[in-house]
Amino acid sequence: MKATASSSRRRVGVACAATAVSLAVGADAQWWRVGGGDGGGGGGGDSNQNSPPSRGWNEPARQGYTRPEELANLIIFRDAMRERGLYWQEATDNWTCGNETDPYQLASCNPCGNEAWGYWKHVGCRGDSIPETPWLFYSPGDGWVTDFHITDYKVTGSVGVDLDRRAPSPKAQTRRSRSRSRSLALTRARSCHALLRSPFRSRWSTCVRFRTSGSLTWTAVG
Amino acid sequence: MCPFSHLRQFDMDGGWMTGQIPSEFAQCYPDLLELDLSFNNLTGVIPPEIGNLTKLHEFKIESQARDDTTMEQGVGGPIPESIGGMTSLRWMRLHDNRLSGKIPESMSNTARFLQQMTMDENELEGNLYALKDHQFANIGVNNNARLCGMVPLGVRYAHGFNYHGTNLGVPCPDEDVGVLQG
Repeated sequence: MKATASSSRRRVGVACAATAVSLAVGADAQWWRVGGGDGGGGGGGDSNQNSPPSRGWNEPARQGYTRPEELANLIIFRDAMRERGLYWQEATDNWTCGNETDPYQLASCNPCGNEAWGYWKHVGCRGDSIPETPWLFYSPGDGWVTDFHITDYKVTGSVGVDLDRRAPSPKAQTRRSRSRSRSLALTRARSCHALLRSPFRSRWSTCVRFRTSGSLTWTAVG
Repeated sequence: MCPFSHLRQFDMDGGWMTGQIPSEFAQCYPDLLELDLSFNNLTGVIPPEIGNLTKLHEFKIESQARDDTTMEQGVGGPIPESIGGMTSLRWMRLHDNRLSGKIPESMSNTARFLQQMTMDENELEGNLYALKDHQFANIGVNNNARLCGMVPLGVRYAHGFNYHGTNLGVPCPDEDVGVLQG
C-alpha cells in the first residue's frame, strides 16, 4: 500500500514536471523582455537563450523566466528532498507551480521570479555582477538558478543533491534533537561541576546556567 | 551529472545535515562565491578538491555539532594544502571543529583578500608564519593547544585575537631560534 502511494506520488511529480517544463518551453519566445512594456522592439523578444542582451547600469530591469532545464532540476530536487522529512517539506512548502503572484504573467511556473529572490523561497536567479560592485547582481538573471539559501530549517540528510539517501523518520528526528541538546547541556554542566572540585574551587562556589548565542551553557561563579 | 551548474551561493547552514563535505563542489559549481555549511552535523575531512573553487569569497564550515548516529563531532584532519588555491577568499570560518596539523604554507596565497579567518577551538599546531602577509580584520586562534611561535602583526592587531589556550608567543619545539634572531 505504501509503495503504491509512493509510486503514485512519483508519477504525479513526473507529470507535473513534464507539464511545467512544457509550459516553460512554450514561453521561450518571450524569454527576454526589457522592462517598460516593450513587447517586441529593441532588446525585447530576443529569443536567443545563450546570448542575453547586455545591459547598462541605468537600464531597466529584465523580466526573466526560469529556464526549462532549471525548472525540471528544481522539481526533481524538491521531490527528492521532501522525501527526507518534515523539515525539508517546510523549507520547500511554496515550491509549487501556479501559485506565483507574477505581476508580469510571463510564465506559468516561474521559480526564479523577477526580483533578487525567486517566487520559490530560498531560491535566487541573479544576473551578472554589477561592475565595481562584486556583491551586487543584476536581478533577475538569465534564468539559471544561482542561489540556494536554506538557513536554520534543520534540513537533514547529506549535503548536496544525493537523491538516494533517506531521512530518518520525524520521530527519530525529534528524539535526536532532544538527545543532542541534553548531551550538550550535560557535558557543559559536568565541566562546570568538575571545576568546582578542582584545586581552584575556592574561587567559585556554584555553577549557574545561562544561554549564549542560542545554546545553553554553564559557568562557575564566586 | 550536476544540476544547477550556475550556482554562486550554496548556503545550507543551521541544519542537521550529516556526512562529509562533498568533494564535487568545484567540479559541479565552478562559479561558487559562497559555501556555507556551518552549524550542521558534518564530519570527515575538508576535501582537497575544495581548493579548486578559485572564485570562492566565503567558506564557512564552523560549529559542527555531534552526529548522534556516528558519535563523531566536527570536521577533522588537516587543512588541505590546496586551500591556497582559493585566492579570492574574503572570509574563512573553521572554528569549533577537530581540524589538526599545521596551517598550510599555501595560505600565503590568500593574503590579498582574506579579511576574516576563524580557526579557534580546533587541534591545529605549528606556527602562523603562512599568515605573515595577511592584514586581517578579524581572527580567531584561541584554544589550539599546539599553536606556537611568533605572531604576525596582521594577526596580532586583528579584532578578536586571543592567544588563550595556545602556545603562541613561545617558540615552537622544532623552531630554529637562531634564524629568528639572526
